[in-house]
Amino acid sequence: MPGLNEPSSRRVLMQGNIAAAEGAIRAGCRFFAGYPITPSSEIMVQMAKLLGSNDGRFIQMEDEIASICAVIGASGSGVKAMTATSGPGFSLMQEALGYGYFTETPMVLVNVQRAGPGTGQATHVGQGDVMQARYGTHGDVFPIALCPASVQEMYDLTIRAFNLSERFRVPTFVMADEAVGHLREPCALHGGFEIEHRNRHGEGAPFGSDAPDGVPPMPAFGDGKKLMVTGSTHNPEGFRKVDDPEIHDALVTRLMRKTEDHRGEIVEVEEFFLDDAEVAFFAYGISARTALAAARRLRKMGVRAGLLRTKTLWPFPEEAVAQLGRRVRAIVVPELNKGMFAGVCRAHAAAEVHSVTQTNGKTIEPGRLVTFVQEVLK
Amino acid sequence: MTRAMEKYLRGGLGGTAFCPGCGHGILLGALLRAVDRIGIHQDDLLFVSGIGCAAWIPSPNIGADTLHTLHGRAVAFATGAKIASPKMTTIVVSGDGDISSIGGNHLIHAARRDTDLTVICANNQIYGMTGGQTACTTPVGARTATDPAGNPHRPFDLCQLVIGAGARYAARYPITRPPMLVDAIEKAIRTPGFTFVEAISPCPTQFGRRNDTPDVGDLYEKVEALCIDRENAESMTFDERLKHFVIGEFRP
Amino acid sequence: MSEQMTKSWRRQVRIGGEAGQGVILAGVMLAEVAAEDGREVAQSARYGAAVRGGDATADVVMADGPIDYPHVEEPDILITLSQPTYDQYAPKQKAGTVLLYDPFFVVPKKCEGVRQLAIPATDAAIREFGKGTGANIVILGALAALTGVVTTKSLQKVIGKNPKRRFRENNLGAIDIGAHLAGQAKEATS
Ligand SMILES: Cc1ncc(C[n+]2csc(CCOP(=O)(O)OP(=O)(O)O)c2C)c(N)n1
Ligand SMILES: [Mg+2]
Repeated sequence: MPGLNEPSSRRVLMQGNIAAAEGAIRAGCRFFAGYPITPSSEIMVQMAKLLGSNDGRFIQMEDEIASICAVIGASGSGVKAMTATSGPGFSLMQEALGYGYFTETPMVLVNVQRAGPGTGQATHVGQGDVMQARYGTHGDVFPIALCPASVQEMYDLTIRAFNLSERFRVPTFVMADEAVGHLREPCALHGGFEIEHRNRHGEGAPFGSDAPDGVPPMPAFGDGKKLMVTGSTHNPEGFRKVDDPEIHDALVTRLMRKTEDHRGEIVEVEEFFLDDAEVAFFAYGISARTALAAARRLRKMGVRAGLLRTKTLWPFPEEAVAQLGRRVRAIVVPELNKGMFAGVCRAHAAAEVHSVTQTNGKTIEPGRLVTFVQEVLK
Repeated sequence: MTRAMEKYLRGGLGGTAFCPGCGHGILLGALLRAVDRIGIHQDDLLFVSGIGCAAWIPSPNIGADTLHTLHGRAVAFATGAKIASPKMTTIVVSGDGDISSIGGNHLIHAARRDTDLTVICANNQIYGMTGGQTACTTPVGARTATDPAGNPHRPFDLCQLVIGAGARYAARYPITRPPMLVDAIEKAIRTPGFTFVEAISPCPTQFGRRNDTPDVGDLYEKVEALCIDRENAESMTFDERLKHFVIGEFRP
Repeated sequence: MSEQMTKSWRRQVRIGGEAGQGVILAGVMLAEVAAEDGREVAQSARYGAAVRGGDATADVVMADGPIDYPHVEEPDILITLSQPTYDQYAPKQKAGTVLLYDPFFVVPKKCEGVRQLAIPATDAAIREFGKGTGANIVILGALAALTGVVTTKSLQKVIGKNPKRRFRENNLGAIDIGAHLAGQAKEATS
């Protein structure tokens, strides 16, 4: 590939947003459309640079709605495509994300979350979009959302997002946050992974599949398949069927199964000090790093604390959380919103679930969690 | 539609979903004739549409790649598809409300960028699909579901709008003059860069019934009577022009 | 993230100033120098929405093992190039820590147990380069010489990697000036 440096295991200091762009290129992304918004703009600027030297296409659109639509259009042309945005832009993209989901269009969206709602605090961190990633668009959808906690993971999980998106034909989110996006840490732009490609030339109708994984082949425009792509309810060939109850139900159900039946393949969690833990954090993104620091400090103080860290927000790691609930007395969920994932946790864990929330545009300091756990255990 | 154009139609379809007397079917015929004259292979054609009756002109009727998208966003989808796959002749076909109201910003920006797209706007001067509400193309005084006493606002002059935004070519013709429409669409597709054709495509069901022309024949005659050549419109005042369909070709 | 639990070397450095003073750049460079020294490092910044003006803070955490929480909680070393950031951070400094300030912008106050050192970096930069830009690197030179959290050798190496000749020359000079000022630095007596 012209201009693309060889992957390297050498770690170099790099900003999280830059690492995400590098990961996208490494995953084979060759199209980016976007609209500037803090704190995600560095991804767009880097993609403009990298796509220019890798025979890709970059376009700055007139707004976020146009950006996501252009990405879906480009993906339909057979090109791996991505956009990046933050809060207000993510809101604008919701209708088209539903369209991408319903037309089974692979694409990756990096949301570098900032402190919302509204225009909020553009340069400061938040984790308030995690439910919007799941429920933001209308209708019942089952998207995939990953959540990086380090610069290295901005690279690794962006690649993984492309792979999952191509594999399942599902729009996939990298739910980063300002703290991770703007963090500079050593990062290796390594090549230690397989790259997935959509099944472009396979047999079968493009919008229906008898295959157990429910993922149909996806020819591109220009492949001579006379595709009918529509966001209205359609039969396996793509014909609009806006009055047929069975076809609608079958389609919505198959799309759900694509993600729900493959939790094992999609969901990734990490465990720290859980073997004998009596209290555990459940955390994601930047807050997981707070939790890990806190768990270590508590251990030193003789408290049997642990951490279940999820790299996958959606589908939610239901089994891991349920299991955690059986292992520990209490689960503490630190997050930069008013307790969004604590609520989800409660639905799946039998243990008591405590919510530690912070919405001041700053990350939670480990000391706060240490004190909180001491209170809980009293 | 004549048999000659059947080769461009997708198999397995009973007919279009348009109301009797709808202009959109005639526009479909004109579009296929233009494509046929240029001789573009079906595999190299991508039709993109939004949401509305007009968005059903290409999808699913045309036997080529069709991308039926969201209300207002066809031009944005087409921009991504075209840039990612430049070999495809990419044609947007959609309604006036779709392309110029909810999608107006995408329209002018695509014109400004000079993306190699042809946008065909089926202008029935109303929101057909949702039941005859006022559009940004509804004439002053016309009655609609949301302006029962008559629309107080002026309509867009879409050809002037896109020319102002940078289009390479724009043309306006009514579906009552198919040969001119075919010529214009052919020229638009052949012209590299952003081009635009506004097809006046009357809606008997939602517009005609509310505006004293429930009969299709009367409606078409009224459209014809309001057509005035570009050259002849030059002496008119701005407000007079707005009451007519100023037809012809427009260039920057 | 890794599970190891050894007690290890870890330093937190905070640089505060006004946006436009090169505070963030100094933070990024310090992080690069620490990485050059073979440390694990995490660098972050806090700034407002405006490109120029307003407070800017750059944080660098360096350690000889994985860094869990990447932000500065309690700086071991605080550098301030502006009065507002001095006023904001200095009173919270722990006893036994080091505070470097630029007397061109900062009038120090009493901070119990904190070793406060005046580094007249802006004065020196104006004298040497005709303008105050460069003071950020002078301060880094002084930091390396005074505290040893990073080595002067790595600092020189990082500067030396910059492709722009003028940048290299000026800033290598700035490091020397910083080291010189470090030798003369007096503790604030107020
Ligand atoms: C975001 C959104 N808003 C509203 C609608 C409802 N809607 C469907 S078609 C339409 C109007 C279509 O009018 P036009 O584009 O002029 O096409 P016509 O039906 O007149 O041919 C509207 C408002 C929608 N589908 N999506
Ligand atoms: Mg209409």
